[in-house]
Amino acid sequence: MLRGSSRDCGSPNAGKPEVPKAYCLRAPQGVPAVATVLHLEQAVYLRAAQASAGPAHARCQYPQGRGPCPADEVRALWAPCPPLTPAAACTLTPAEPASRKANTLVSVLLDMALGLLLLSWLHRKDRFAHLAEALVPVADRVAEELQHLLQWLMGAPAGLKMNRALDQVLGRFFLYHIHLWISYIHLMSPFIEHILWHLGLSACLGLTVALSILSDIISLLTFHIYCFYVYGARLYCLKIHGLSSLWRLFRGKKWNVLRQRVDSCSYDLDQLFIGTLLFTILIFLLPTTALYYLVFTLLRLLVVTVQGLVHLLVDLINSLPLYSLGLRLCRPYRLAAGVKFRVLEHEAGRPLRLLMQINPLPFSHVVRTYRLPSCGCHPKHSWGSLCRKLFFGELIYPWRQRGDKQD
Amino acid sequence: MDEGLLAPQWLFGTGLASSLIGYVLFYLTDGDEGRKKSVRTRRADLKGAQVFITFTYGFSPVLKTLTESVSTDTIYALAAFMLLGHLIFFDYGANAAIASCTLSLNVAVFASVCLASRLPRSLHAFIMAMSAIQIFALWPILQKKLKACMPRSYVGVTLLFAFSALGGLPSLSAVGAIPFALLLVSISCLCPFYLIHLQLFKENFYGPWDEAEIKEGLSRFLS
Repeated sequence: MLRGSSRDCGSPNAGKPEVPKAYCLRAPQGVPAVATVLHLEQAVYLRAAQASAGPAHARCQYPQGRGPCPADEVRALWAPCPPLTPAAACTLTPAEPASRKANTLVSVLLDMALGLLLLSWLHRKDRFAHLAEALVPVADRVAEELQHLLQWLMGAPAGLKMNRALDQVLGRFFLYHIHLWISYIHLMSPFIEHILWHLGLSACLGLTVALSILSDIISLLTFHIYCFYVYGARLYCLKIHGLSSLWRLFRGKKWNVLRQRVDSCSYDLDQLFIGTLLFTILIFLLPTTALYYLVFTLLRLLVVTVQGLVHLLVDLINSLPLYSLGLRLCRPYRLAAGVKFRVLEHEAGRPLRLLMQINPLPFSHVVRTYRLPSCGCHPKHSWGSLCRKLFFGELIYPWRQRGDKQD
Repeated sequence: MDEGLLAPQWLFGTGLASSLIGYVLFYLTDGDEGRKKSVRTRRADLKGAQVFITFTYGFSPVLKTLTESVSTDTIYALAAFMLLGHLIFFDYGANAAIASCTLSLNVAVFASVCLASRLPRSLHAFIMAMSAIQIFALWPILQKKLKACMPRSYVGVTLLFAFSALGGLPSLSAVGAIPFALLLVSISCLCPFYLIHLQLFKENFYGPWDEAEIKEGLSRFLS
């Protein structure tokens, strides 16, 4: 950590006449007059306590003796120092906008190069036809696996006891849905090759475009899983809300909407009876609904994870600051992390002379500082709220931004 | 009904007749005063009864298959536990904090629905639910009315009820009837006798010579 001390910069001799005191930052080892690394935005104040001190100036130079650095890179403002006021401020400007444009340009060029590479690879061995031929059997296979899963659920899955009637109803409903989906896929199968070829053309716009299209295709192909998840979640949510409300009725209490609390309430006889009847029915049907909800939620989360990985890759390609990384490799002095001061002359009655050297930025800091703004499709809720939403059966929208219209 | 000893239609008829009798008795016991004071009209009562019957009849197929996959022992244990809860939370007329007529009724209905799901046909389940509501919901209301208006007949009615329950038990299990009879006798007769007997040994007597204790707030003097 940086520690400041306003004392004489490394002068062991106190008996000499007063020299301008400097506010210098000491390294932890206690070596005076060599400043440690500052953060980019901080200012260094040189304080002179004596009125007799003349203006202090610093001379900066590139390492390896390449000559003084140009004024627009490091601007040092020096002023005559009245007593006990900051005498000089030396600030380093942050990254100028030009580097952001350069980063974006280089990223886009790399993106397009990778996309063209992908396109040429796809065209080489007529892979489009192979892909199209492989797609329909894959979709069929997925649907068949889903059917097996539903048959397993309709039996006695993992030894759990399910209500047979409800099981049959739900299972048949979902099986019919899958049947519709299979018919849809078979209907589309003659056109798939052409569609794929046209979509592949868009890869020349960049690899990120191709990856995004891949993510959308995954979305389309697993649309029935999304539908099942929504059905299961809505049913489960309804059940949970009904159960909580009826449980309050069971105990003789009611939710007071005005005061947002649970109050006691005297119900009528018929309300009590019907409420208890419904409560019993819902409680005994809960394991069945919960199991269906669990299975479909897991499937949906799997699909969301796969899509999330693709998005992450796209994000990475878009936001990596390649130009700045290249600059750091080739010309490290252009990206400054801080300055090092070294005292050159330190005599009484004469101005203080310091040598300033630039510390290059570490690579991790380069990436962190010059990163391009990504589209920000990180999930907005924490793990706790995610678990809570899963438990109560509320639908999860992984890529909905906070400002969007709520459902 | 499970063992075929009781025909469901006979039970339904008896239940209907007894509820009609109870209804008439309810309004007869305090003459016209009760009808003028109560908010509910006859029409509302009829509507309530209609709602019960419709709902129960509609849900009886669902009720029948509700607990198919749960084992019989679990159901019996659950029903016994719930009926015990019904006995604990019932409002016996004393000022106890634990008494809650809502909870006792709900728990009793829960138990009866659990048991009704074990019956062979949906008609049986429907009739079981109707009997449950007659016994647990309508009968206590009539009982309270009788106790308030004709305390002497209340003793007779209670005894009649206890003996009919005792008489119905040996058909299910003769071994269980004997402990039940003993329990009934001990709670009704032995325990009060013992309590009164123990009064002789009481040492703390409260009388007018004790210090005054303010039990209520002063709000009734201030209002």
